[in-house]
This record gives sequence, C-alpha cells and structure tokens, in this order.
Amino acid sequence: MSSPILDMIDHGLWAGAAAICFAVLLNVPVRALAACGLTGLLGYETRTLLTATEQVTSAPASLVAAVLVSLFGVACGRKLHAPAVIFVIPGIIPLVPGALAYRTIAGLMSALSATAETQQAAVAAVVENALRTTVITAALATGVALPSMLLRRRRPML
Amino acid sequence: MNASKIKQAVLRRAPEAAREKPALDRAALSEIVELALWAGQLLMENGAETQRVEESVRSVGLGLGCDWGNVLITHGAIIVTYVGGGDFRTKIRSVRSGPVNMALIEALSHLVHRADLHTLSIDQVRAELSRIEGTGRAYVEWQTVLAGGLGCAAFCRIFNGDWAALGTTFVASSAATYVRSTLSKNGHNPLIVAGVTAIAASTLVGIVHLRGTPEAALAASVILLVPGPAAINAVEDLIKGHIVVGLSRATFAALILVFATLGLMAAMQLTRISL
Repeated sequence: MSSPILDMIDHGLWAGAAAICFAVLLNVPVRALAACGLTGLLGYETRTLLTATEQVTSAPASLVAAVLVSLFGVACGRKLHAPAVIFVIPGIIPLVPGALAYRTIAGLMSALSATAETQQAAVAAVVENALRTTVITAALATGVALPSMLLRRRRPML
Repeated sequence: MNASKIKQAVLRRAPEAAREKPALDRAALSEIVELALWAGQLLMENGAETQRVEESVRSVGLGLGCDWGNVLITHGAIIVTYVGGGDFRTKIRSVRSGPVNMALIEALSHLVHRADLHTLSIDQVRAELSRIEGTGRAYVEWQTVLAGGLGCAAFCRIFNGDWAALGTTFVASSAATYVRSTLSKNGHNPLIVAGVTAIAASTLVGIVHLRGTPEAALAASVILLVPGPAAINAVEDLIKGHIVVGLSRATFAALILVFATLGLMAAMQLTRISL
C-alpha cells in the first residue's frame, strides 16, 4: 500500500476483522458478529482520521472514537435486542494499546539491566510509554462509559 | 433491628412498594437472596462490569417481591441483604473471575429485564438461571483457534507487517490460542497460563518466520494475551464509583501483562528477535 488513504482503508478493514475474531473469543453470539466488525471499523477509522489531522494526539482521539463506538453499540443493541456491551467491547479491542503496553514492560525489564549511560534514556522511555498506555486505556474506558453515564442516572435504592 | 422496626423503615421509605406486594415468608426470602446471588455470580465470573452486576442483583431481588435490598460487590465475593415480609436475610457468595462470555451476559440481561417487570416467578427465574449456566460456548475449539490466529494476524497487518509476517502470526497465535485454552481448562493459575502462552507464541514466531518483518509478527502474536476487556472494565468500575473492584481488576490486568511480557522476553532471548 502506497498512499496513506488506501493504507487507512486497508488498516480499518483489518481492524474490523480483528474485532470479529476477538468477538468470537469473547463468545459473542453469531448474529451480532457483523455489527462487531462494523463497530471495530468505525472506532479505528475515527481515531486514525483524527490523529491524521495532526491537531489532536492519540488520547483525545481515542476518547472520541470510544464515545462513537459506544453510541453505535447502543444503536446496534436497539436493533438486535441485545445489551450494547456485546458490541462495544469487541469494537474497542483494536484501539487498546496492546503493543505499547508490552513495550512498556519490556522496556522496564531492560532498563534494570542497562548500563549507566543508557539507563537514563531507557527509564525516560519507560515512563513515557507507561503514561501513554495508561492515558489511552483510561480515555477508551471513559469514552465507553460516558453515554451510559449521561443517559441513565443511578436509580434510587427504593 | 427487629421486624417491626424494619417494616416501619420500609413503609416510611417506599409506602406503595411495601403495601402492594404480598408478604414474603422467610423461606421465599431466602430463596430470592440465593437466586439474586446466583445471577450476580454468573455476571461477575463472565466479565461484566460492576455497575451491571449490582443493578442486576438488585433487580432480581426487588423484581421477585422484596421490599428493599442492599448489594455489596467486591473482587472476591458478593454480599446481599434483602428485606421482605418484615424480616431480613443476608448472604455472601464468593466469586472467581474467568474468561469473558458475552452470550451469557446477554442472556442474563434479558432475564433481569423480565424479572424487573415483575413477570417472573421464583421457579421461573431458577429454571432460567440454570439453563443459562448450562449453556456451553457458542463456538467449538477449532473455531476459536482460527479466530485467535486470524485476530492476531489482523493486528500484524495494522502494525505494517508484510504477508510473510501475517502468515507467521497466524500460525503462532492459533497455536497459542490452543495452548491457552488447554491450560485454562486444566485449571492452571491465569498468570502462569499467560506466561506459558507468550513463550509458545513468540518461540513459534522465531521458528516459523523466514523473511520479512518478524518484529511486527512478534508484537502481534501476543496481542491475544492483552487483558483488554479486563482493563476497560477496571477503568469503567473506577469512574462509576466502584473503586476497590476497579483497582483489583486493574492490578490483575497489569499482572497478566507482566507475566506475558516475561514469557515474551524469555522467548526473545531464545530466538534472538527484538521487539
């Protein structure tokens, strides 16, 4: 793939495929799989488009993408008579910073065995990766929870 | 607190609710507590967020005729107290988390909705709960193995891996999915399962890959082990006010990640590929 637009479409389709596969691992019913794929595609493309503008970093872009995924999940839930969560969790999986999380822990391990000159840079890299992983994950979960927190308030105990 | 005081408290806080319902006897109250705990346990053990568990437990209890109830959810147990017929009962049930099962969460959400509308009897709820608990997973072993392989291969593509890396990831992650489900079924500690699965996946990447971009394949092959749903649930619990459960879940997710990374790094030493 040469052009960035083609690349984006290509990656988005693979993100949708990943969402469907992970939906199978999470035991999502067969009739909901296609919607999970669409959810994954929507979330990934939203974040890629936002970060491509270079006006926003990946954390706020993840928040917006997660809110859209969550709203789309609610719509799918209405249509297919299922709770939104069975579309939202698979749809959010392509956005979870998994590789970054691995790099953080692996960096931590190697920072422990680094020499005096390289140690400072290694620790700085670990801190940066850890912060990015945490903030993006927190943004995703907040985005997922926001619609339900705004739409329905906590019922009184009685 | 004695029975008349409880009755007074209920009447003061919800006069209509307490007056319209037929009085529950002690055995029925005990039964309702048991069923509500069962529903909560099933949700908790199959990857639901705490708010959903709490609301479901409450809905089952109130929907079956209790006047009032309190629910406490912790990482390892659920505690409920229900009041009905001027009496109260409290029970505790321990829970242990397992793999996420969305079909079960869906089935329980329908059941809870029906119970909430006061359309189900105690016997119907019990029958439905045992049917839901007995329902197996929707996909057979080879289908989940294929899904694990394809899912990670898709991630390899997103990490800009070439077709050779894609194939490598597919083989390694399919095998890793099989290893993980076999070890889990045998009841091994989830942290050990994560570590061993990571070793299997990344060693296979080292053995299978011939040319191309092994780094992308290596990173993608262990995506399977990223505790994504657990991490999302953890943060969601935290921001919805279930701080202790959220922290426990976040700690557990971080531990899974650490063990998976240790496995990955051990295999990287063997195969001499770097991330």
